Amino acid sequence: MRRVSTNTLDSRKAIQDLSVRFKKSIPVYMLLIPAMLLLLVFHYAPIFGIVIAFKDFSPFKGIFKSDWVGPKYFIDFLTDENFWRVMKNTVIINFYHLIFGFPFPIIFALLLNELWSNKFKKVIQTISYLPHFVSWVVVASIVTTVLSPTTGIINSFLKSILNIEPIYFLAKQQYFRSILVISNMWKGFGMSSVYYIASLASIEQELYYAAAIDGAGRIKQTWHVTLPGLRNIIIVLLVLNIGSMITIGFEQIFLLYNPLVYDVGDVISTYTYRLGIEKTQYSLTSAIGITQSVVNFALVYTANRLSRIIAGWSLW
Amino acid sequence: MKKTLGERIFQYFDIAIMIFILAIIIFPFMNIISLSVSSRDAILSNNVTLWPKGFNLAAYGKILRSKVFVRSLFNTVWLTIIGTFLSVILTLTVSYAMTKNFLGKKFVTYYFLITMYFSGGLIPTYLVITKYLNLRNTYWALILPYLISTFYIIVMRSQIENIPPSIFEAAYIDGANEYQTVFQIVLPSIAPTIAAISMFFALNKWNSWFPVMIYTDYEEYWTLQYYLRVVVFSKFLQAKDSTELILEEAQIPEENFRMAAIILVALPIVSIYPFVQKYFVKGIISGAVKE
Repeated sequence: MRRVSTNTLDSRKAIQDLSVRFKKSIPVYMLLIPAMLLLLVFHYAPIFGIVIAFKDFSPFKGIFKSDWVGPKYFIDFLTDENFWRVMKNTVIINFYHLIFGFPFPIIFALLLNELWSNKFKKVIQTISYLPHFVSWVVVASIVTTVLSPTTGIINSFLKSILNIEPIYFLAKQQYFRSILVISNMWKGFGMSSVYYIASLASIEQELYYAAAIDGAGRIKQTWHVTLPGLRNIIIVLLVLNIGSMITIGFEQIFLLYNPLVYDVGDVISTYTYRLGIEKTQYSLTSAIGITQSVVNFALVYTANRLSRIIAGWSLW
Repeated sequence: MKKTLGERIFQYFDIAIMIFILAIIIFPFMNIISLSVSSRDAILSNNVTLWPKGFNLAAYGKILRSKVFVRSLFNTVWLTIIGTFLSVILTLTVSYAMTKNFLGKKFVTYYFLITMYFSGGLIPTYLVITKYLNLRNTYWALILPYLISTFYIIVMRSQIENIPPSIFEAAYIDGANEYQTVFQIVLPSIAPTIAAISMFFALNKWNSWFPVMIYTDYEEYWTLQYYLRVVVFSKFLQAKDSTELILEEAQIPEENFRMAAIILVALPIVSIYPFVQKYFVKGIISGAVKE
């Protein structure tokens, strides 16, 4: 008898504690509620909305009343050669971004660091940020203009120096991926170099003096002091880049591509847009979206694990 | 320290590379400015490279007088101001709340963290906003879905945790409530972080155009970037499914007009960024070394 009564007493006390803590927490909840509601409506509702990937979604019937079709749409796109074409383009284009776009800011930071004049350094650095600040619409407009076959500066140089007939670069499959890689580098290298410039500034000067006393020239100093100093930040950024491989690139490609280069330039995000928004294939594109999220999460997760193992740094 | 001959040669080589990189960034802008003010004949004979040929400001006048452009500029300005203001307030209140102890903190932490790694994707989000919330052709669709970024909440929370606890104790003794604490104690203590995060939000909102494209159908909702997209890429827009129109570039009228539009849309950012870039640089560095 006694034991039971202490138990009920305990649980009553626990409930009382809970309600006291709840009451105490109310002011904090008031701070959280607006943001949580926004996420509920604009983030969580769509997450639950992906159930339409398993339904034959009809706007008239709505999400709940549309007919259940199971994995039909997953099979549809996995057996569609168009999907594999955009999958291949996504991987190839992002791989090119990585091998060409990733090292460039490191080289730029190293070269900038070697300049003697601090004033010149500052000017170069500030101007290198410029393309980061303008939108992709502006950058894509610039790219279209300089590459234009009739009025573009590139064709005008090619004509006057090498006497080559105008080339319509943006309509030629063999140039399209290079244009994507170069314009992406053009827009981003300045801001990406910030990480490396900051790390370079934090390398201790004593290390260079010590290396110089040991007889190391500038090149050896760069190899044995500078690059090891950048090692961690390089690994961290490489990992983050790999983690976001599948999601990046929509605006750039969407603005620059056209039907003539779909074969080499169409990627998952642009394909999903055309099929979903323009052709209203809601269920099919949601199925693609789920697959993309899963692959993306796997990439982020793997990248994060790798980072923790190699650099001892991770996102979570 | 005395420089060796090799070091001197390398220095000149380095300067040459830097000037080359500078040219690659600046030349396209010079080219477009020149095109925008050159005469039509010079443009069509492909004679304009880095300096204008002839002089003709008509395109600028035409754009600045156009109702659509002025409306787009106005929309961009107020959407950026309102959006940034709301984003910063929400980030600040959530960040502060996450430094407190409260019932259900673990749940709330996951609630925010999950949004960094999972999303419904383009189509379900589009359906929720257009079919269920009926926000098509409203400014809400351009503002509300983009207000919260968990990443900035994490950054700001770590800054708030660095505020000395004694400051909060003083406020508590004075009987300040949570809202007063946020705006009178926390806000001034982390002003540099607030400034940096406001800049990041503002730049994103200023440069946004995709929501305008998918959630609105009328010119009254346009922003500057979307205006530019329509002006510059209209030849692609007409040519959505046929390839013929793309090849008729020579017939598109008013090259000056498109070039002047690029300059006018880029101008506000280009003239402001030298003064605010230091916030971005600091923000990026502190985000990277947050540990």
